[in-house]
Amino acid sequence: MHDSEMLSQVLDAADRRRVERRQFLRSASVLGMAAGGSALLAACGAGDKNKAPTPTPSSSGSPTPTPTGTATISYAPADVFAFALNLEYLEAQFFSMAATGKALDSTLTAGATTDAKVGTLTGGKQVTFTDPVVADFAHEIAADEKGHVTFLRTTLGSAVIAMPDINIDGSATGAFTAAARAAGLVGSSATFDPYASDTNFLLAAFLLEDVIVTAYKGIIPYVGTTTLLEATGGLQATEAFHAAMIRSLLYAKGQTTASLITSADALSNWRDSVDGTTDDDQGISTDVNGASNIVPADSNSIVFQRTPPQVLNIMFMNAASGTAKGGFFPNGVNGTITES
Amino acid sequence: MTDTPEQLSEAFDAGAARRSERREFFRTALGATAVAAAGAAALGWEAMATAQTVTDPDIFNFALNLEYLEANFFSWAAYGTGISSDMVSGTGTLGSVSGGKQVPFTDPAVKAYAREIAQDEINHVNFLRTVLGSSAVAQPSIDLSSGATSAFSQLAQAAKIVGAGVGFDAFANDQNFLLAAFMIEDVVASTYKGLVPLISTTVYAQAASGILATEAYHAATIRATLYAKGATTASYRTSADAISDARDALDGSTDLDQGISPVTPSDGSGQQSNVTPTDTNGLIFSRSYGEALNILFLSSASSKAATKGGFFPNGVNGTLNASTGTAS
Repeated sequence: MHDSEMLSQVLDAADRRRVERRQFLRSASVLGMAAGGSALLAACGAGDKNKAPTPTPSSSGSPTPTPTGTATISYAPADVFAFALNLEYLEAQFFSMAATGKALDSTLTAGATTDAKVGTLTGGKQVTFTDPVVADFAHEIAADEKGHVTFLRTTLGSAVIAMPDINIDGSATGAFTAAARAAGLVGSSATFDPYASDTNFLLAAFLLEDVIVTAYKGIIPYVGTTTLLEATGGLQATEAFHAAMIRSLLYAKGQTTASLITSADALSNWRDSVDGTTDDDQGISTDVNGASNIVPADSNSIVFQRTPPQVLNIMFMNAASGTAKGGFFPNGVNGTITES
Repeated sequence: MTDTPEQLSEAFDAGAARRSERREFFRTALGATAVAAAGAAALGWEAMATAQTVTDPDIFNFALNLEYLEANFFSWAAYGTGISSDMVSGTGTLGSVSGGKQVPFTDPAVKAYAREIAQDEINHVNFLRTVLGSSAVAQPSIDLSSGATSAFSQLAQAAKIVGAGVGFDAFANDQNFLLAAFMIEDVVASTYKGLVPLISTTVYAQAASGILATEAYHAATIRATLYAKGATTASYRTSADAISDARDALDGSTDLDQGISPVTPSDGSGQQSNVTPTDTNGLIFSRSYGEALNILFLSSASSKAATKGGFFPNGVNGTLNASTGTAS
């Protein structure tokens, strides 16, 4: 195998990255694929942009492919789909309330067993949109997220989890306010109401959508079969469409209202501050080459992933590992994957 | 690994439906499935026979052809140059790019998107070439030109964006650029979705899903921009819809492609855009590589399978090189 040679080529390619594309081979998706076979380069040594990673010597003739960054963890497909359902409940409720003022129907929130506690939705109201494009986007995304909830519930069948307690409140004690304060969008005693304006709605949507994309990519290694792999790819791609709708609209509007871009960047930085030591999240600001940054990707222009615990760091708004509740999920999430 | 019922797969096929035609039976068809139910019927690999006839390098090489097309298109549009000559060699027949020029952008956001996407596509070419190593295919001949018989022009003519026999210059202005990008990006995103589940190795599947997501971001950026501009200039939306219909006419009998114009669901939830081309479950649809080549070769699936034409006048390199079609 030509391990180190390929690594160096990847590093050369990395020099072309946009400035915001951060400082390492983020997802370590450095693969070797030889003719007629498949050889893996486990470039797990994610490193600084200016520091050449040390290639892992390929002493074995048959390296075992290992999902990057999560080598010691294994989840069952049902576990990761249930995990995803928690996130879809959150998204569906937020976008449904913002677009229509209505929460999910109770038939879409129950668990598989009658004694499963169905959580309470706190907050949420219809946005009085001024830009019809934003309104149309909100309605479209709401419909898609409702579809995702339905799809995951059906797919999980008898393993379906109930909706956990969800906080999408726009008051001083709401989860969005807590995130906005932490990100510096508002002062430490001010309120951030995601339903107050087009702008606030877009920023709140930005906060959620990007995380979901990375969450789906993070569970890809655990979904197993071809059919579920395609489904997960489809879910991830849909969330990527949504995230890009929000990011590109913020960027376009940011050409005349610069605060939209700086606010999105601040939210990105906050996410980065709670989800672990790696600087993987990305804002949308224009780089030195005049390029936007709609796609949050690594130096190979591959969208990055988060592990389930990293996702929960953001959802619980807590950088500590082992956290089991907080933020958007004040009493935690349901299923077997529950800790940051 | 927990097994997956066959019904799910069948439901996915059924789900390749236009959003405006969201089918009520679909959720019913899915009703019997459960990923975690103990003792769920195994989905035998024989059911995935078509998936096993191609290797991971075959799939990545097919994707590389698409990335060569995208990288050259966006690089020309953004920078006024094709991709570097040091990233085009490989197995198969090395071709050249005809046409292409820098777009005189007027909207700074569109210009910035073009630059971003160009860099992403160049990175994808480099990434796939690196992954494939010595088995990487060469860049095939690519047509980005604007003459009356060029690939862009024929697709634009089919969509009636220009009259019969009239050229369509993809690089003439912001709107033409966005429409041309729309022609290509949607195809690539849907094709990656079709390719990901065919990949047999987990890490490759995850990498491909990451590229799929990037292409989805790109496609959405283009579609969202067309939609937003269409709020005041209707032709942005109607032209995109017409291109979608033209693609659908090429890629087989299933009506899977989707335009962007607003739809109003019967459930009273209110008008919504159609930036994300999904089925009733909110999953974006898939194309097979053969269906992708129907569009890129501009060769209808109701015709004989083609191996060249349209954007790839001498075909694509690699083993996955024929469009779907009637038996030869």
